[in-house]
Amino acid sequence: MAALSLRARRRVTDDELELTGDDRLVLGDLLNHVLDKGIVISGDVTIAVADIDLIRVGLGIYITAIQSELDHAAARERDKPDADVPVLHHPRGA
Amino acid sequence: MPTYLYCIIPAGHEAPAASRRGVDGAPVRELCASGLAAWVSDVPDTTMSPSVSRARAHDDVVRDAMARATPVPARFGQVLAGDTPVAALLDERRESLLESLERVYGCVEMTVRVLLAGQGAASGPAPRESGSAYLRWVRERQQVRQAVSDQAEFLRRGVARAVEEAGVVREIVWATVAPGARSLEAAHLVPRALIARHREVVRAAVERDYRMKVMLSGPWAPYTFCSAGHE
Repeated sequence: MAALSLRARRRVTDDELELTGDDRLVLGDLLNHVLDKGIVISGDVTIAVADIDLIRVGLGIYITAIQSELDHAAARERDKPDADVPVLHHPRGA
Repeated sequence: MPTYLYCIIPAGHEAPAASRRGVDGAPVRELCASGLAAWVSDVPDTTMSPSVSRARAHDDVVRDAMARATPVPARFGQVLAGDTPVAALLDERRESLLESLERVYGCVEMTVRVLLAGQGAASGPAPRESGSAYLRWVRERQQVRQAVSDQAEFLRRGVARAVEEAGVVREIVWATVAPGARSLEAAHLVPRALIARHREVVRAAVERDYRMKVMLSGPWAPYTFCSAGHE
């Protein structure tokens, strides 16, 4: 049943599936997807878990660096001693 | 010879090009059984160590399959003893694989990551000059963590509402926000025709409405939406 309904012959264009995002982020996400997600049918995945953790650590460092820069920029702009205290902006019109 | 698995699509689609190469440059071919087509290649050994180039090669093959159909991507490193065990597993797992194919049909995965503000105040070392200073530091750290947790929950609801109202997602899987996390992450299952619109809606919801930083990557094959229920 489902097999028939899934036989779409349309071939998508390359543009539609072009991978976008920051290069470092894309690499980190690629590794996280390929090494840590996806279906497992055999039960014999032979990769080292430590490698996945290292990738996550690397991605975390990158995100932390971006976040730190955003925090510093916001602090400079506001020039207040409590600039690190989180401020949640309510959506406009809410 | 051992067989390496990349992904599974419904049978009846165009096979991989003869020039398509996979992990370690091995030719990729199609193995059909039980109405399903597995994209595979021969490998010399039953173990497969991960590397960036091999992970890229794996994903490149899956992306090639995405141009023909919506694949159920396999996790890296699945090597079976040969074609016969692969065909047997396709037959044995046919129903659950068809369910997975139906779940993700016509969709891609987009990774959405919103950077959370406010972790800086809680990340410094504990003061040692007095007990009251230490207790103040503990209280402030708890307040910051609670504020970040509230922020994450508020954002989660706001983003989910925005993409659902705009009709640009079929499903969302949120990553757990651990204490001290710097970002809120989610995988969105997005119809292919709505990829650009999805980006616009997410950016508007996060950057314009909440004035926070969002990072998007994709489209990916629906790896996250084929992870649940594996054996």
